[in-house]
Amino acid sequence: MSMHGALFRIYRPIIIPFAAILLTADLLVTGVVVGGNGEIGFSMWLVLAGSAAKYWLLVVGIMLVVMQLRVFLANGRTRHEFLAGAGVFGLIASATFAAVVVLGHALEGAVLDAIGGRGDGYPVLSVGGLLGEFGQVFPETIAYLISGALISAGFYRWRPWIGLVVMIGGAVPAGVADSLLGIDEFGVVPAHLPYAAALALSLAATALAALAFQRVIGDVAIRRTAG
Amino acid sequence: MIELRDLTVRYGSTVAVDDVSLDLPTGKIYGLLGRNGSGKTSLLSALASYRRPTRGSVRFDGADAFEDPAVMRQTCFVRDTLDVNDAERVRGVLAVAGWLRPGWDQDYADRLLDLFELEPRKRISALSRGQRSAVGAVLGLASRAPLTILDETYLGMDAVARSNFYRELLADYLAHPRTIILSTHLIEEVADLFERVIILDHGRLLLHEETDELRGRGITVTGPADAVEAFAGGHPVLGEQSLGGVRAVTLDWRPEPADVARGEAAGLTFGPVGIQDLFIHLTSPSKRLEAIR
Repeated sequence: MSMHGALFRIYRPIIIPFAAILLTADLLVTGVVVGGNGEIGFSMWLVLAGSAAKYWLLVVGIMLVVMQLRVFLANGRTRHEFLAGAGVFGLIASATFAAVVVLGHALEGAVLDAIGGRGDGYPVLSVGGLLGEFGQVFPETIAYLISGALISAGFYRWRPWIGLVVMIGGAVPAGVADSLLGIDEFGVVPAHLPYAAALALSLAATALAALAFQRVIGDVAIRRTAG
Repeated sequence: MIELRDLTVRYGSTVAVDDVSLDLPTGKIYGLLGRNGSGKTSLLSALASYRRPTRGSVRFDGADAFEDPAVMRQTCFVRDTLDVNDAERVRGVLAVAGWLRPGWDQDYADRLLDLFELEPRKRISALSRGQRSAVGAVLGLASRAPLTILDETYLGMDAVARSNFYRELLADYLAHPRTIILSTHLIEEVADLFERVIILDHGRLLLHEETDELRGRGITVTGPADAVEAFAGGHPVLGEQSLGGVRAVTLDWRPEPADVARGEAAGLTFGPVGIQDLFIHLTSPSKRLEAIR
């Protein structure tokens, strides 16, 4: 089995309940708001799923280092094979979560429109806007994943005080992506930088962190405990 | 052939493995012995590419082992702490091994679970120390890796489980020959399995010999105390026991046939030296008994 295939099988029991909880929470909260006010003026899905996608992938980045690295090495894979497999897994997972956020937003808007619960401030998503929103969310999810991985790698490899220093660098991709590409519950991008420049800066920060992560983990000693 | 050349492993200023060079022909069972802190686990970690050596190299058939995918596929290193996640169930741990290990034998793993009376639905965190070790034994044996390294895999196992483990290890080794390295402190219990013995002391290689040669290096003399004392006089004593007027001493000395004949005429009997006695003698020079005068 491929490395990323094994990782998906490991995470499958976590992803499915997580998605179910997220969907239930969104339906409940949106239902309460619409039931009370008759309409909702923002996207609850962007609030819940948008945050969940980022923070869940941050945690996955941490877990990849702390929990999965040694398991894969103990089962005969090299660090570089693990990094390559985790990279493919991370890209697919990030793209999938970003797509779920965007498609969920579109579906939420359509359902609210159908039941007449869509308020004035609600960020209506056109078909063309789907791709644009995906272009905002996808780089963010990747950045959070890499941030989580680099932060945990610092603590895994070195003593805590060095880990703290690495943590500051590790937080950069998430911080840059959030400040330049992040969208709020009204579908607005608070940063006023052209998209191409914002994307380039975010991807550059993420790529540098990914390179640093590769260097930190490429020959790291496998710890006895979960780090 | 597995070759260790000038292998050194340091942790800051502490030297765990100090300039060890070893040639390990494949297809044998090795016993890696050493006192606590002698560098056994560090040596094995470098051998299994869990740690890059500070200096020196580990080579498999001439290829540098570190981060070599082909070498890693052939290596299974089971540490006493187990490299699994505590929240996993036993069956989940074995499933991952099945996905990733090319030689994994699930039927054999299932039989071993039965043998060690392990419940596949139990989480690792719910297992006793001995049961965790049994999971390590299952992972090590069912992986059928050409290089299987078991680092104190018996920890916490009761006598029955240990006996089952040794029996399975030998049976599976005979059915599927491979290189097995066992690190252990229960020397006498496992010594019969070893084909070669490696002894580390303070990070340095003290000895690497065929087990039979090692046993022939000394002799155990049993008989009337006076006769034993007279026979053993002047030779280093590795260990001794007395019961009533009978005394048994283990000597670090290989007597000539004429000496043996002389001893037998005096009512003495002779046996091979115990690996454990030899180990204690070699690694505890300060505790060596004075030669009998």
